[in-house]
Amino acid sequence: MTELHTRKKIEVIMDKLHVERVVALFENHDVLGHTVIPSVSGKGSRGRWTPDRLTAADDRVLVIAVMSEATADAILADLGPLFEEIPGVAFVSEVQVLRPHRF
Amino acid sequence: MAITPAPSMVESLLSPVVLFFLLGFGAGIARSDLSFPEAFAKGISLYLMLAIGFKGGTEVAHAGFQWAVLGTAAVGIGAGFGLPFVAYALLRNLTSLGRIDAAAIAAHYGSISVVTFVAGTDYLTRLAIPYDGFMIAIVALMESPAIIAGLLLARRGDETSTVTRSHFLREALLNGSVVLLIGSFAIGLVTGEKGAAQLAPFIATPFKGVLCLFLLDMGLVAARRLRGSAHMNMRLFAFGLSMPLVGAVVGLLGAAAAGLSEGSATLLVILCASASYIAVPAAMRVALPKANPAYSLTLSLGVTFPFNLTVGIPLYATATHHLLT
Repeated sequence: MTELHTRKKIEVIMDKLHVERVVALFENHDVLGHTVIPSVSGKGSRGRWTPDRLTAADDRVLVIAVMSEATADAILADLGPLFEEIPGVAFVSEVQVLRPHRF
Repeated sequence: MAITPAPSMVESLLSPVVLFFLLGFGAGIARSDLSFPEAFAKGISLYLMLAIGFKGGTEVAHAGFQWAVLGTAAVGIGAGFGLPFVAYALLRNLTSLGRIDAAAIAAHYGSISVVTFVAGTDYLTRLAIPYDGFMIAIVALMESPAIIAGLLLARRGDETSTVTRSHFLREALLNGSVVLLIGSFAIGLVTGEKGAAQLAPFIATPFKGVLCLFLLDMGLVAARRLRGSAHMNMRLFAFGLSMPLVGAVVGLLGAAAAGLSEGSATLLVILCASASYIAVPAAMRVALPKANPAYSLTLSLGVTFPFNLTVGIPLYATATHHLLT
């Protein structure tokens, strides 16, 4: 049976215009990789949102990264203060990975 | 100079540009599934910026330098910077909005709407009223001063973001649409009539049709934004309808001070009466992340833009016609 290794996955839904700040946070904590996925539409505490054609002001993205538990804890400690300043939500879950050295 | 009478409101509505917008708006309100692929919609907005900028540049190259540019630029920048303070005072006195949201909305109303400007040029063209090509340069100049004013208003509180200055300046000054507009203007200026002749089949002939497509989409976007906003109330709605009129009065005074022709004066009034949905929303989102974009975008796109397109432009043209000529 294939051996799997437990890691933490952090998913952040946030404004596209601020994504560099979360990406920088991941990089500062030596997270090796992340993926940014555009969101199509949704609803949050401020009502429904859909991206406009002309401006990125209402665009959201989903940022996904997988890391060790210790790194996830450190990132979550930094995400709290960041979300006091910019809108966003983060979810943490446990995932299984094949190649642990990559996360 | 012969004075062309302004058309009636009904006549002005019977333009393909306005009718396609109303078609999209009606379809959006009625929850039709009519929609544009996002990449296509973004593509036609880029085409419009390129065509508008290039056309303005070639017209300035053709007309040569005019001293009126400097006076109009000063008036435009002054209005762009000053109008947010008026809008902010109105919002704080008439609505229950907080400082940050009021400042963000105010910045939108100091800046301008390129599409409203283009609809204004279409209106003037139908009336055979000439206007100066340099007004495109005024469009570009009026995009950003309001952003600075909005930030000054917001910083009276302590809730501004710690966003880096470079990130903010990039959004305020290097917004893709503004870069394309200014860049195309410069290319038009350099290449002049020869360039205009080369690009005529791409820029001149299809322009009106593409504008109709774009306004059809704008109608859909405006209606959906209006429909989806749970935050709008009658006071905000009243602001969205009255602020353009305040801007128009400022524009009229500015046009008189700059000594503009009827066509250019009408365009300056339209610019002062319009609200941004290109450069300002993104810049405000970066600089004032706590401001709710649902307010500002719904007001500028869902209330003020439809008002200006259907009622405002003929109203401003008539007022300019009677008061300044």
